[in-house]
Amino acid sequence: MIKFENVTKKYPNTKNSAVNNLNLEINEGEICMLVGPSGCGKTTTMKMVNRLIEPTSGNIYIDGENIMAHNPVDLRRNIGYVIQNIGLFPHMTIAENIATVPKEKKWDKERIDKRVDELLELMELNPEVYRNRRPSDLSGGQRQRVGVARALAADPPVMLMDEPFGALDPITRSKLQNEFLRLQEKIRKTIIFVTHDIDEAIKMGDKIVVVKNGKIVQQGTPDDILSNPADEFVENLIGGNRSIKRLNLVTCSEIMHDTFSVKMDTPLDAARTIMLENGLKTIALTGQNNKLIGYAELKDMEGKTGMSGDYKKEMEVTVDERMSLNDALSEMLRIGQRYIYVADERDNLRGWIGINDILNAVSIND
Amino acid sequence: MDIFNFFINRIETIMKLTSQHFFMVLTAMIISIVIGVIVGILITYNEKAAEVVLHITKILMTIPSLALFAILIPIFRIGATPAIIGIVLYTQLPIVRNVYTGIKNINPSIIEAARGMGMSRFKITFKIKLPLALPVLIAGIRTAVVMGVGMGAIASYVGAGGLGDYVFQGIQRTNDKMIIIGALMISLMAILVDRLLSLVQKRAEKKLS
Ligand SMILES: Nc1ncnc2c1ncn2[C@@H]1O[C@H](COP(=O)(O)OP(=O)(O)OP(=O)(O)O)[C@@H](O)[C@H]1O
Ligand SMILES: [Mg+2]
Repeated sequence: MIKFENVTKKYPNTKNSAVNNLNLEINEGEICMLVGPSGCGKTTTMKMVNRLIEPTSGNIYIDGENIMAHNPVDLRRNIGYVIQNIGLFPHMTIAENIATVPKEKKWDKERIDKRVDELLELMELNPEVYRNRRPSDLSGGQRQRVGVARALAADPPVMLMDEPFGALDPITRSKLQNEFLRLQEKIRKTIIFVTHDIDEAIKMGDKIVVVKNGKIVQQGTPDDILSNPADEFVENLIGGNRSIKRLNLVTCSEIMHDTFSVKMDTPLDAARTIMLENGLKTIALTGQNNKLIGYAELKDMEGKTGMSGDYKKEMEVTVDERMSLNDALSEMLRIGQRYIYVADERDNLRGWIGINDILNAVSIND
Repeated sequence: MDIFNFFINRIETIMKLTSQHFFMVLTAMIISIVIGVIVGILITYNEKAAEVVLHITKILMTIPSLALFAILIPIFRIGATPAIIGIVLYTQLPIVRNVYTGIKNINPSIIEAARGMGMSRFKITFKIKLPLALPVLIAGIRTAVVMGVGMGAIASYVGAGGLGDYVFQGIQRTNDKMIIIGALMISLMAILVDRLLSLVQKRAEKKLS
């Protein structure tokens, strides 16, 4: 889908090339993470794709076509771009910001309005509330979301994202990463994603390209990079604790166990029988469509009668099935529990994960 | 109350001169803003040109206004034309400079985002750069207008009319009332227009914050 062929960029009056004879292929629907230290040429590499920077030599192809064959303005309207510092237009409303490319493409007003609302909803920003606000009225995380929505507006097949979740607190950052991965499952864009955070690269990438001084040091799947770092530089970039990093590679749905659950109106006797037969101390309570409502503990039920729901305790924390084991583990540590329930995006109960499952999952390969 | 009666009795002449003054300055300001904005935008694309142009506008402003008018008379004769051209030249500096700095001070990520999304150069100028530089531009226009109203008085020397006539006639006839009324009307005009523009500037700033 995107192909770099012997691409070199040397800025005038500099000694070394910012990008040095780069060869890279990115497949359709793939997130390719460019990772490396500050100044290694990540942004330069990315900006050559939408011709904000022209290469000194070499060629770049999108879908087999040389990008030089297009005029830059048309090219850019078909490539989503999330800039390193977001760059929202402060004098325009959120809706006007998001509508930038559709307006350039001369969509009619109705279609633009519909698209803006759709994107705001996708980004979990209520259109009624946020449509007419200005960027200065938003939090950092909300601005990043609008930045992503603006890049997605005209539904471009290719996206360039330059540290889109940089400069955020870790919690918001992780949340936006998860949301974006969920979104990407649906939209399947071909993405070049720049970061200097190896953990982000491991979590988000289908492919990771490690860059140093304008050259590719190693490329491969996150698993490849973690298992076989090419040299000391990559090893140092990954840092210690490769097993813990591997937690980012596995999602909860991959290792969760089926769980026992009873309906709210299941008689207590029946619930107790299931628990005793299976040696459970707690059991999940569900409502309509397997929706998770809470849980009940065996010790509360001893010698009682009635419905299971009468002994309901609130379920404080669950993890989404698509979250990584890293997220699940941090939640467990936070609430001090050796297991956690897994739910899907509609809060339907899907299973559970114990702390031992997490240990097993990451220690097999090492 | 003498001066008040004097004012009432001659209100027709005073109003005529005031409106003459006002429209002379207004015409000059419109031309000055159009030229200044275009020049200010153009020089943002070339550092060298910016240096040269800003230097020229600075020199223009250091010429005493009377001398500037005197230079213009042989070319444009007398009347409103040399007056308006003089005011335009004299007020270029605050406008050109403020458009230039207003645009140069825009956060580069904003411009890059606009370019990266495929906005044309023309659109970026009119939809992004100018709106964002607007408060600074208006501040420049305020300075220019105050200067322009003052110069309009001196323009009486090249036969352009306006409130300057009243002041100078007052000086010739040693009529204090005429001098005071003329000077007051000029100040009043400058203050009122400045106040009005300051409101516009506040609104523009508020829109950006
Ligand atoms: N316009 C420019 N003129 C000259 N040198 C430049 C220019 N832009 C970038 N460079 C240099 O090129 C190199 C690569 O810069 P680039 O912005 O691509 O790095 P990066 O990997 O994105 O870094 P960061 O993580 O800090 O964003 C750096 O040494 C930088 O100083
Ligand atoms: Mg960068």
